[in-house]
Amino acid sequence: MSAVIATEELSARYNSIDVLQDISFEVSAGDYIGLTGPNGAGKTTLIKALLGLVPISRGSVKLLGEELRRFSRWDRIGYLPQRANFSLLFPASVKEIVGLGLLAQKRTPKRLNSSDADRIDKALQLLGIESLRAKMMAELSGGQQQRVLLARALVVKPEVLLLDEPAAALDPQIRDSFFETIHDLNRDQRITVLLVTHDLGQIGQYATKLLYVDKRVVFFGRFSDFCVSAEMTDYFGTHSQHLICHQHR
Amino acid sequence: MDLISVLQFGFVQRAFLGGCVIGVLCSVLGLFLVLRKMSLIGDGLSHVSFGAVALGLLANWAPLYAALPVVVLASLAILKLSEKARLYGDAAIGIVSGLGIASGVVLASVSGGFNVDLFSYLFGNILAIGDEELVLAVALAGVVLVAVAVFYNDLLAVAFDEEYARISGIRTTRINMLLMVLTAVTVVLAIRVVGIMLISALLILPASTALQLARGFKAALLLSALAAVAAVVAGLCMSIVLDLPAGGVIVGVNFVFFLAALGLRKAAV
Repeated sequence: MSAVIATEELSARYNSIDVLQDISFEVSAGDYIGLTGPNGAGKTTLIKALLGLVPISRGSVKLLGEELRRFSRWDRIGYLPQRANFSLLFPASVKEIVGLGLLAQKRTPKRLNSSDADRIDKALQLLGIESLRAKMMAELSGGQQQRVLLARALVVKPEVLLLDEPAAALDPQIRDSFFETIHDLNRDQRITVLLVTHDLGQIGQYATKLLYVDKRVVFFGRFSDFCVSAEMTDYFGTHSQHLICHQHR
Repeated sequence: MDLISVLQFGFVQRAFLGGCVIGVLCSVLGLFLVLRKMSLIGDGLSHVSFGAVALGLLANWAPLYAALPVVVLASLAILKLSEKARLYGDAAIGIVSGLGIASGVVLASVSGGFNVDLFSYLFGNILAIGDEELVLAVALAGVVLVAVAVFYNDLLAVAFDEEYARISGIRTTRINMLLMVLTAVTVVLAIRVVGIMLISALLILPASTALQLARGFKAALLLSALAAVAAVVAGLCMSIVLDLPAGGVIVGVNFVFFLAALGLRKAAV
């Protein structure tokens, strides 16, 4: 079975500086990958390169077995950005915003119908925010806004979900619940997850594999392998490696 | 002046009809522009239209026909400059806008200085809309509104989050070009209503009024259009009764609507 995400010697440059160098990895269907690394390691750039949002200088990306430049089935991919680029002044209701996620499946003129309204309701129910349907984004807390944007990503029933530090702005209690939701989606709906996080310890509780990057791939493999890797012991030190692995389920 | 008897005149009826049609256009496109922080594009393109109108008057062409292709090209130039020249959008608008004004001043000087015709375009003369201009305005307004209806969700998605729109398979570059071209056409049509100097107010104020009160994007579009039409009707009536310039009064009424909406929102909080 072909990988749902595959990169080969992927490199990206920004202002003549190498941000990613020779990144090669494969994600299989049903994987839950924790993508992590230090500040400035290129985690967000890597996610954006996978989606074609930043140009790559070398190498290749395949999504669901197809070269990125030919890929058109965006309805099979869900994405939750690190910081949504919307203004709180934007006069759109939760229902309208979640509906935007369905446009990937539509042809011009992209019209939403009554069955789309049902799908929007189901996505909101899945995340427990159906009561927010008619609310405006500016009226919601940070955690609720994040769930609305996750609903926008999930409304198309994607096979792959890319999340860029989705819990960075959430308080600890909401963060735990958010991670549980993602975990449930991976376990119950077999959605492949690639989640960027700073918190190696927390992602260890949920992810099946770890992709640690620092402009290049430092480690890619199962958490259990990470925990017994002598190379990673050298890299992180015994204490840090123990702390990370202690929380792994 | 007796308003009812004045309303019998064809030129007054054309002013009301043309003003309302162009008001709706400005309010609809203005909402997308304001939300994308591109409000000043109207100002920039109106300055370009100043140069184009001066060229039309000098060459003895119909000024609005001369302005239409020039302003459309300028709108695309602003888009390309901000994409390719490592410039923020406001700097790109400033460059093209400055060039428009500069060429207008030079062309006006070459033609023997600012004359009455050029002033009428600077400050607008809605009561001078002719049959041909009205037909052109209604036809182009139809094209613009159909384009907005067909690409409504694309325009909404790009306005809300351009990056996410790209990975939804929306061709954002094309949608940006569409918005620019539609705005350019609208700016040229609005020259007659409020004049080159006040076009950006017609794009910004109804949208800003709607943003104070609307709950939902469709509601915002409807409120913006209603505010624009009400301002055109009230402004024209006041200008006839008080014998004041229509363009200025229409913008003034729009501002009063904005203040009222702001007050209502504050009172509701």
